[in-house]
Amino acid sequence: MMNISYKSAGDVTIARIAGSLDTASSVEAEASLCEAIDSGAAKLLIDLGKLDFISSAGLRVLLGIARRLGKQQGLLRLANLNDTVTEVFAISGFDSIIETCPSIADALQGMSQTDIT
Amino acid sequence: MVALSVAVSIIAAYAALEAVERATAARQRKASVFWVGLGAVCLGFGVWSMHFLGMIGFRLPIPVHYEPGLTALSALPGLIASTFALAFLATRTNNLAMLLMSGVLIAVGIGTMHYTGMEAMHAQGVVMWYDATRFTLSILIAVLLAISALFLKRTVAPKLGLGPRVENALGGVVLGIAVSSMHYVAMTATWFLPSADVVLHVANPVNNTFLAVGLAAAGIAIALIVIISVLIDRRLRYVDITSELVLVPGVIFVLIAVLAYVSVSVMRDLEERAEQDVLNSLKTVLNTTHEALTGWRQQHITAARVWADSEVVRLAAAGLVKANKPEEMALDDAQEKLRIWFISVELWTDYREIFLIDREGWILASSHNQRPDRLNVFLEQPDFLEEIWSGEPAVSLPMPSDVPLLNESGAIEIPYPTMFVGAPVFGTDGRIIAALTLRLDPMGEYSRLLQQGRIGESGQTYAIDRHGLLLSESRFTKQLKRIGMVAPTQRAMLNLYSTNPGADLVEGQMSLIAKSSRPLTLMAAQVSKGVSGSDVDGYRDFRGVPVVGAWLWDDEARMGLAIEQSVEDAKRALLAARNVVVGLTMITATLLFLLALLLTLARGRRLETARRTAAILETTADGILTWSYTGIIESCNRSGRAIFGDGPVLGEPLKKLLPDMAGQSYQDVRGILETPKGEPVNVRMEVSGWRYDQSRFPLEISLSETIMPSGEQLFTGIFRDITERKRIESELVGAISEQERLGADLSIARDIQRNMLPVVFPPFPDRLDVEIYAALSPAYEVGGDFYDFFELGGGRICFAIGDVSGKGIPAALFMAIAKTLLESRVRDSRSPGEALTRLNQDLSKRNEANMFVTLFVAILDPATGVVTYSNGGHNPPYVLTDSGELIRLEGRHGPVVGVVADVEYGTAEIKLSQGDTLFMYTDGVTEAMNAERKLYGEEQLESVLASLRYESATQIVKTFIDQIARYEGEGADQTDDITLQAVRLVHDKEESKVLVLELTLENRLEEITRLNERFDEIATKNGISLSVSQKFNIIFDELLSNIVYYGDQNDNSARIRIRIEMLKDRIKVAISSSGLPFDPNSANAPDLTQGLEDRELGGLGIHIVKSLVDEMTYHRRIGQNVINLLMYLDKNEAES
Repeated sequence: MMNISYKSAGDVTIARIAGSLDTASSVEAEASLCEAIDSGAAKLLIDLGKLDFISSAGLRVLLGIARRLGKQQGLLRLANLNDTVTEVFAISGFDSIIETCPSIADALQGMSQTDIT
Repeated sequence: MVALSVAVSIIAAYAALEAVERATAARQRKASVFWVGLGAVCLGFGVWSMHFLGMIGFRLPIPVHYEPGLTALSALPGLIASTFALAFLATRTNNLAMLLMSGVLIAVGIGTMHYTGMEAMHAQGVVMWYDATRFTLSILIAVLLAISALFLKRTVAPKLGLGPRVENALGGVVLGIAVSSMHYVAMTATWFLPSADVVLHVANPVNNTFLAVGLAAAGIAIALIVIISVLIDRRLRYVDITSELVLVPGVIFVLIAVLAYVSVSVMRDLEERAEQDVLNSLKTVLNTTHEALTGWRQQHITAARVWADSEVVRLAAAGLVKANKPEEMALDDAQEKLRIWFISVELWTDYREIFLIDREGWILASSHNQRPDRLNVFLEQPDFLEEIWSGEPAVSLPMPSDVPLLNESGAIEIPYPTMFVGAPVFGTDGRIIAALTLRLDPMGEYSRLLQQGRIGESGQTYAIDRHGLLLSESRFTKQLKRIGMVAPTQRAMLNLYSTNPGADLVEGQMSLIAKSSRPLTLMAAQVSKGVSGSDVDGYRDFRGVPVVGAWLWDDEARMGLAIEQSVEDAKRALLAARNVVVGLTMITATLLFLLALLLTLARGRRLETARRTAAILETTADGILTWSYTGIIESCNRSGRAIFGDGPVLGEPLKKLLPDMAGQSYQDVRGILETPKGEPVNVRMEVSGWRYDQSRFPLEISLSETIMPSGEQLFTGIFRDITERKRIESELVGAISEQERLGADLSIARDIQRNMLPVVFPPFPDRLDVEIYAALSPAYEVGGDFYDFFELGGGRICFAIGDVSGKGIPAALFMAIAKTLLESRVRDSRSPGEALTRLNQDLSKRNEANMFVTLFVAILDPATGVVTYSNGGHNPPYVLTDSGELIRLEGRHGPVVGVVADVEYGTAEIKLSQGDTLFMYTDGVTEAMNAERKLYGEEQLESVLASLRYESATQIVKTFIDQIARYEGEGADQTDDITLQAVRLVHDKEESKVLVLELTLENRLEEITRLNERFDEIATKNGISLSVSQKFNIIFDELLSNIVYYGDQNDNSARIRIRIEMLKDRIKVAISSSGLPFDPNSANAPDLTQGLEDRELGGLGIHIVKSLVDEMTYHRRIGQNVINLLMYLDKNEAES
């Protein structure tokens, strides 16, 4: 059970993933996010506030997106991670690979700043 | 001849009945018709032969001949009657009316044949008359005997059980007697009356006799051939006892000998009879000729006397004699008177030249010559005149005339034979004064009479004088002239002597003896001696031709009379008959010989076949027995004889061997077979057989009825001694009942075992400090395993597990005793060791059965966790600690309990912590065998036990029960009781299970979502925090996706089993899945320090799972990957 919704905040695309990022949903999630990137979302902020949990499959999707955006000189940030997701990020060491922010606002701030600057 | 005729009729009747037997046995209608036909021909011909043989035996004083047409016709009634009668017999019906009708038919056939045959007989001078009473009697006898013959054969004989041979023989004898009785009674009914006819000319008497003889011989031959055919047909139809085959050629040779004897006697009789016939006819003709000649002589003598006594002659003679001077007689008146009278006599009679002569031979008067003269012609026959002068009239013999005379054809012939009749002329004084002679022409009546008396072609009558001179003309003068015996101008009469030339002149042979010195023929020699006689052996007549003859000497006429017939002619019929008989004999004998030869050749093959069959029968393991319908055993093969104890079997009554089979009689066995006659039957039954030594044994016999082609019924029994089988059967029955008894034992033992054990779990529901579970899976044959637990004072609990040696009720009882005693000893003792010591004392004191029990006894004090225990020879139990450590309680504190008395059992102690489990088992667990007969073993037990660290006591025991069952495989017999007992010291916080969820998932990704949803749902209900749920969601996603990826995705039947236990303080999850062994713990931990670009994702999922749970263990269990997960809740709760 996974759902992704997009909205823009300036040049930043905010993708909100609701549900879970697991084996079953990761394919769909990856496709959706790739499409967003392809349609020009170079600065991607993924709102995980509604994400219940993430498994390694989900991590793989995020890793793929991060690499993609990295190649495009894009930007990826994650925001609103719940405890479980945070724990998983910690366990997997992803917290050191992908930037995570406590809130949307925090995340946007940096991204916008980059943009502005 | 009579005996022969009766024998023929009996043989023919027997042969006919045998032929009928064949007809009945014949399967094809054609064959049946053939045999009936053959039988009918045989019987019909036999009756006919009998008749003619009888007729040959019947002698009439006169020659007889048979009319061929009627004779042949006379065979017909017999044939027709026989056909019908035999056709009836062949039907095998028992209809009385039919039987009577057949009898009558046969009798009428015989009768008709007889009287027709009699009509065909012609005897010259005899008239046949039939006596009405005897005629009826003859028919009646035939009817009665024929019916009784059929009745005997059809109805009586079978009841006597004599067999078809004897039946036919009896029937044949009676029927044969019927035929011959009819004949001979009928013959007495026939009167032969002489007729008035005078027989002078007799046709060749044996001419037709040969017909009868030949046909009679043919009749015998036919009967013989039928019998032989029947014999051969029967022999060839089925292989009988081998030795009988040897008999057949023998019988044939005997038959040939009989045939030869019969032919020879027939021939001899024929010859004798033919000679008799020849003699009869010779004598008949001779006598009649003689009588006729005598009559003729008398006639002339009378005439001569009458004339000599006439007044004219006497007066003239007296006058003429007075003169007594021949020269004066010339023209005497008296002479003239007489001459005229003479001439008148000549005119009226056949006499020529009548003379009146005186004693000197001077002619006193004559019918022709007036000139006085002496009659010189009489000089040759002084006897003639002498007789006249002696006072008797006489007839002279033929003599050559001294004057030319006219012969019978009117020509003058010198010397023409002449003869005279003369009578004395008496003077007034009674003295003979002159003789009156009258000349007769020998060619006249005299010759006619002689030539009339002839027989056949060559027979002729002769008159000869005492010197052998022929006094009559031959019938064959021309032939005599041709061979030079008579000069061309001469006659045979008075020129030919009956002398034997010693060679057959007619045949052109030359006589070596001069005519003048030839001896008289046999006939002439005898006649010259005045002897009458006959000869049928043959002698040479004057031509040298072998003849038969009869002769007589008539002294009064002074001449011999003979009749002769050439042997060839006389015996021509005989020879023909002989040829027929010899020919038939030869043909029959040749046929018989060929048959014998054929049979001898066939016998070799038959013998071989018979030997093979016999060998097969002899060596068959089964006994083969045949018995007749009278219940007499006819054959038995070697196995059969051996089965019956090598006693005499053949010829014994069946009831002696198989008394309780009803088959003592034909009817009984037929009753058993219960099928229509002649149909193949097969009845199998078990009966008791009696050996020769009177011992009994069970045998199985298959009965079948065999109807031999001869119509003979045989029963065949194929049997075997089933003593062994019976024994096995009874053993089996015993074993089955034993089994049943044992089954009862088993259930008793099982009842004892079950009733002795505490089976309600949890046993102490109020106690939260311990969890106890035990299970006993009894083997099929109950062993003596047991477990026990009971509370002692102070919250202590005693646990015991034991294994009694032996199985079944004794083990169960011993177990019951041990268990009962144990409890009381434990309660009375201070330690388990003391309890065992005392128990051992109790049990070993009265243990006659030398039974024992391995026993582990432990007392747990949950409050302190201290376990004191003592082990008497039992498998060491284990302690599975909460931390996963497996401790084997190695200590052994004494031997097995119940064997050696006065043994001190020690006691050991171990302290359990909360969560620790004491695990006890019996050797049924470690000694469980799989299909490859490999033991489950302690190693596997330890490994599995170790994996059950987080499991409850109940789960541990159940897991093992399940494990062992799977290990042993389906359908395998559990050889020993399997007993497991576990007690777990429960954590303070630990409560009994909140919830257990068990799910079986299919091997696909979609199932993960379903599992997560289920988990969330239950977790929510149980107040499990969201974060824990999320962690398990992650865990399930990681592990199951792994399983699905690495598992066999093509295997739709693969299942993933999830067991989730939600306890108050923790969640335990066990995931079992098939597939290749995969230990997640062995996976390399991912390098978490790598940057974005270099980061590898492999192993990450497992790493996450490991990180999320408190414990993750992996086990490979019977083809299953089992992952156990444990997550404590408080920690997570606390963290959250």
